[in-house]
Amino acid sequence: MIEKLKHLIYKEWLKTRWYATIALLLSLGTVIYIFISIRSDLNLLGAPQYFSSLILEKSIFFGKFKYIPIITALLIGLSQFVPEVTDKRIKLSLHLPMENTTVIYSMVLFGFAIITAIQLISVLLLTLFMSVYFPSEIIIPSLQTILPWILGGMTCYFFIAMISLEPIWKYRFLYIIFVYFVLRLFYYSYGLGNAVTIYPILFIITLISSVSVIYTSHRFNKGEL
Amino acid sequence: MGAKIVRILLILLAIFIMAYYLPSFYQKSVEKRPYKTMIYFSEVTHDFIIAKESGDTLNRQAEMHYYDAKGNEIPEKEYMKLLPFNNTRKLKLMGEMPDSLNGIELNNKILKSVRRSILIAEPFYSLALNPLFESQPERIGVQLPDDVFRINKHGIEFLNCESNRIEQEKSKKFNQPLIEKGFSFPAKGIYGIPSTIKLKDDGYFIVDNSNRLFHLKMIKGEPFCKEIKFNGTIKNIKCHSSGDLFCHIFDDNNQIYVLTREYELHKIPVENPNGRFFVTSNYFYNTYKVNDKDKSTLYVLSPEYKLIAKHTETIDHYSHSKEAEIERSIFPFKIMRTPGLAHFIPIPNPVKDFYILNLICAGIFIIIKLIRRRKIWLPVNVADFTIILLTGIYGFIGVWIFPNRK
Repeated sequence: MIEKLKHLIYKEWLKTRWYATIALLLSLGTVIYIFISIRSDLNLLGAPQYFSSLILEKSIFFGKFKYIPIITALLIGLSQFVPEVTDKRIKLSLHLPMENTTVIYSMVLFGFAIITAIQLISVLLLTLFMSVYFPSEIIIPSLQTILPWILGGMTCYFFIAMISLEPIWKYRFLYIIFVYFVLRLFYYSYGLGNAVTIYPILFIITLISSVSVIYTSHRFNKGEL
Repeated sequence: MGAKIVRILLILLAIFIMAYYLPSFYQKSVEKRPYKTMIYFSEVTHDFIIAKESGDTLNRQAEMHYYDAKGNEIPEKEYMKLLPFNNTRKLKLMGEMPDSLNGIELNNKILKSVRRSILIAEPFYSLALNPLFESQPERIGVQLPDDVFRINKHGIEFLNCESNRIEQEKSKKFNQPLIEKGFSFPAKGIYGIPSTIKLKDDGYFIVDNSNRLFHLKMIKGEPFCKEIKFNGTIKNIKCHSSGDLFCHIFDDNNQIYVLTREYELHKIPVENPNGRFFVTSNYFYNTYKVNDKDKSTLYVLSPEYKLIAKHTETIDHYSHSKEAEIERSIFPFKIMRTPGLAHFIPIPNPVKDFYILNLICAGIFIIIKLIRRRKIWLPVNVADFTIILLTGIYGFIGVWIFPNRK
């Protein structure tokens, strides 16, 4: 069993490694760009003026990071699932002497782990950079603002898996529309630090999305038509 | 079994999403701008003036009509003359601006003392970092300091913006008077105007951990701290940079108070259902307007904040329109996001007209199942039927998007 899982994970790694590298570089590049732009603004405006504009406008100085989690999810998710659903190659994996749910979830959890690792490295680096210039009163609300974006990325990834395994194109199209409106909730222009009250709903949505692949993989496996 | 439970969860998520988007899409596509109804209090006749809009707002052919307190229509020019503080510029251009009113000369000081603001009881998110300005600077204006302060469990701390380090000396100096006054750390709320765009600085009003109110400012580099006696729990404070008031204070019942620059606290005799006020003040009167869903009430107060008169008018609102009636017969409930701190709140439909559509949707569902020769008493179909019956159009679409296997 462990040996089979290792092979499955190796297959996923072969499919995603370049896309994961691109996502990591893109994410780290964005964090470094944010750091450089903070430093440049602090030099140009002066630290008191920069702090004053932060306090008054609660500007999202790390806004460039907003869509990075969702881009990461798209890169990893599409690189993992598009080859599988092309010509229904995933049927080969589903015919392995393993539980179908185990096969599907070994793929999904692999992708989820990659996305989480990329986001974790980026957010840790961003926190480190922020702590050079800002007190905790700015760092904590900043991280609170980033969390919905990261949850949005994870939700997007889980839904990519769900849509990919849906056997009928009509429903795939409907799910894309549905997912678009779901993801909008994660990417509203919440002010700095004031998205905290919406976390419970966003967590519930992410949890539902994490099991959504069970529904379409069941339809794929049992045959819908 | 797992797939069936997941399907139900996805349908419930789809219902949530639709209840959030569909009613607002509907409203945006059909809503007309409501007719304006405005209430004023004339400093000339000492009575109410009503301005009402009529015509067609959709074709931008609506026009304003003005009425006195008895309901007699008055011409626009007369209306402007009755409200000299609202129409100062136009009256001056027309050469109709009076030199004096009620025996008081209308000089520049009096004309510039007019203040208009919106007061909202709900506090907005704050970073809990503020610059403490010099309140008596040598030069006119407000200068930005090199540091910002916070009040945490260790006391007040000034952070140098450049180095991101605590300025120990200054923090110690400002901590001392707070400790002497019995300030309980950390602060629950710090209210003030942290901007340099103001003529003078009045410092900050700070609610401590025991709900006591303090006034903190810096005078010639030295701390000034004063406790202000306030009974009740403070919810929000709106500070003013000019005029005779330091601030408006909201308690946790949305009751509103004013704090004058002489540290006198006055309870405003205004009933407020929603915690939102439009305030206008001039030399003669203070007025507080409260807009409810279907009515607007203007409270007129003397300069000493004693109630003189109040007047209520019904106002035009989307909820009274034919379009809103249709909306209530389509959607059983809707979900809205609150401004400020983000919350999703469900708003049940108060009128139960939607039952008919719910029944129609449930009927169509059964007919489709019968035509396709499905067993409608299967638990999964019973669950779908119940969802549609309860959530109407949302459930119908949700069940269609996430279908059952045959």
